[in-house]
Formats: sequence, C-alpha cells, structure tokens
Amino acid sequence: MYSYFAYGLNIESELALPELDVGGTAAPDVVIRLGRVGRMPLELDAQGDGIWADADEACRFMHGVGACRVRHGREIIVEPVAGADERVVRLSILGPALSLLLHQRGYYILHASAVQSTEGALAFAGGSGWGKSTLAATLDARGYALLADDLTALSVSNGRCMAFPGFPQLKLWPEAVAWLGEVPEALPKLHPEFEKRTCRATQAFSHRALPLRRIYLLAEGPRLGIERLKPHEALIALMPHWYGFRFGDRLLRAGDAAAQHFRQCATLANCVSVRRLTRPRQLEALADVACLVEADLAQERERAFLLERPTPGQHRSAKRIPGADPAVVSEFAF
Amino acid sequence: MKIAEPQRSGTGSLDSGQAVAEVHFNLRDVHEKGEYTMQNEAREKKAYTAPELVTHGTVEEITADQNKGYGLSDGFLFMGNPIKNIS
Repeated sequence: MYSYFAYGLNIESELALPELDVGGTAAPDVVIRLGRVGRMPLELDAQGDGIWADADEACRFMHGVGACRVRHGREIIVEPVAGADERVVRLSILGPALSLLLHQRGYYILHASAVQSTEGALAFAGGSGWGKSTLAATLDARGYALLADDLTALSVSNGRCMAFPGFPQLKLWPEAVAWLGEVPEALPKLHPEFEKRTCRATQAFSHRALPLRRIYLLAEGPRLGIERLKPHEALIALMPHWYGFRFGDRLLRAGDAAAQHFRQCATLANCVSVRRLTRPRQLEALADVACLVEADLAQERERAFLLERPTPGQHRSAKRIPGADPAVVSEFAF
Repeated sequence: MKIAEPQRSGTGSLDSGQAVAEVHFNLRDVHEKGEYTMQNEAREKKAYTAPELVTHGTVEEITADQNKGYGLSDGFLFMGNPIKNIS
C-alpha cells in the first residue's frame, strides 16, 4: 500500500500515484483499491463514456480506461480494462474519481487552478484550453506556490470559504512549457494520444488550507482588464464552472446535489471577490496578465491599509473586519 | 457616498428543475451630500417603478452554460487541433 496526501486527506492506495505528495502514517481518510466495481453505467455517450450517481455513490466508466466506483467519500474502487495505459488510469483517478469523492465529502468542486498569495488563495476558473494551468504556472514561476491545477476543492460554510491544496502537478501544452523555459520533450505526456505534458510545480508545495480571496473567471478579449462582479452576477457566472457538470447532468440530479451546488455557489459569490479577467489568448501576454493580477492584489492591500488608518475628520471610522474582504468593506466604509 | 443597490434572490432549497430568478428594485442609489432635498424626494417617489423579475433559468440550465463534458471540444484550438476536455 502507498500513502499519499492531497486535498487535506490521507490517502491509502494499492496503485502507485506518483503525482501525489507522499503521506504519513496517519489513519487513511480515503482508500483506493483495485477490484470489481459491480454496477456499471448502462448508458454510454458518443465517446463511449458513462456515469451513474446516487446521493453518496457514483461510478464513472471511461472508454479504453475502465471504471472507478466512488463510495461514501471514503473509497475508490478501480477496475481498469485490459491493456489500459497506466497514465490514463491515474488520470481518471486523479481527475474524475477524486472530484466525485470530494463532492461526496461536501466540498465545492471548482473547475479552476489555484495559487497561494500573501492574502490567501487565488483561483482561476475556466474551461479546458482557457489557460488556467498556464497562468498558474506563470504565477508559480513568479513565486506564488501552486495550490491546485484544474480541480480546486473548496469548503464553503458559515460564510467562509477555504481552498484545499491538491497536488504539485501542472498540465501544460508543449508551447506553454517552452514559453516558460522548459523543454517539452523532457516532460512526460499526460495522455499517450495528446501532446499535453505534466510538470511539477517549482515552488514549495504547502498542505495548508487557505482562505479563498479571489476567483478570477478567465475570458478572452482584445485587451487586458479586470472587472469586479457584483454577487448576483458572480453567482450566475460561477455556476458553469462547477466541476461536476463535466459528467453532464447525472451528478446534478443525484440526491440534493442541485440544491447543494446552488447553495454553495451562492455563498461563494457572497463571501469571495469574483472578478472577470479578460485577456488576449496569446502566450506573449502572460507576463502582463500576471502583472495585472499582482496590481489588482496590490490595490487591495492599499485599500486594506487605508481602512486600518482612518483619516482625521472621517465621519465614520472604518475598521478592519477580521476575515472580511477589504474590497467589500471599502465599498461601505467610504 | 454610494448606497449598495438592494437586491433579493431566492436562496432556499430547490431542485434542478426550479428556475433561479432575481428581483431587481430600481431605487435611487446616489446621494451627494447637500443635494438631497424634499423636492428631490418627491420627484424620486414619482419615478418609482415596480420590481422586475429576471429569470435566468434552472440550476441545470445555468450550470450547463459552458460545454465542459469530458471528451468534448470547447471550441478552442491548439496548433489547429480542437482542444478536448480530457484532464
């Protein structure tokens, strides 16, 4: 058995998962084992994939890979098909299966990459190919340690949102790898049929959950810009970035998943600052995008500083509220 | 000073078939110090319009706004090839 640690969980696995950080000797929260999944999905989509989901169990079948059954947020049973590529089996465990497990444990699963800043976690949400990983890699190279790539797990409760570190791996297109100064051919392929590469994050990887400070929704446009969304706009804009919809509507229809998704997303929209980050989809713009994010954070720090030092004669004393987003505080303080 | 625009939205229990809607109130939202008078207030009262219900769709419809299904292309290209959601 191998021991790993990811998303705040001690994981014991029969399969080697070198992408994950090695864990300690603590009792496992999650067990991954090989075995028969039993009930298979009856309906398959055009790609030959399928899923069934109940309130606390789900089974995902991937064509040419096999099936993963996820039970009660504690167990993943893996049944690979004969001849399945080990890398792809691991990919199906670390993406779809882990996301189902985290959902069963009550986490909000956001289709986003995330990094650490001095203020807390910053998440970058968007579809595949929108540049989440590339931007996270750029920020990682500038000293912002990676928290998670592609799948960010959030605990959302009592108006508070924490981001849990996943594992220190990034998935990048060769072009982006080269732009970041690495040699694509020297890095392993994510999937034998695709050119995407896997690479380790360069900054030290922390296992500490952090308060989520910002969600940047990636958008494409001719010019760079950051637009702050009001909570009701943020709710509508955030909902499509729920990782669970990558399985279609099956997971949303299981148990009270739809209500949970809506409730958690509404809390997120209320307690986290959500911004639309528009940029041209060019690698040449990456450094400027990173600078823009840094400027956005610096502006926030400046506001927080001003709030801590009310000017003489100010009608209302603006005090810093512990745990509150200074940007939100500032709207009401000035 | 800016007063936040009041808004209400349904946050109770709902299933995927129920629509998400917002009620928008068109109220005065900016008052500059010294400019606020009784006359202004009377004019604003006349300008009141009834709240407007905006229906965005069901939870499922809104969530499905972007095509994120595994194995599907979301329309972006890499070196001329469609990018598929495989990771």
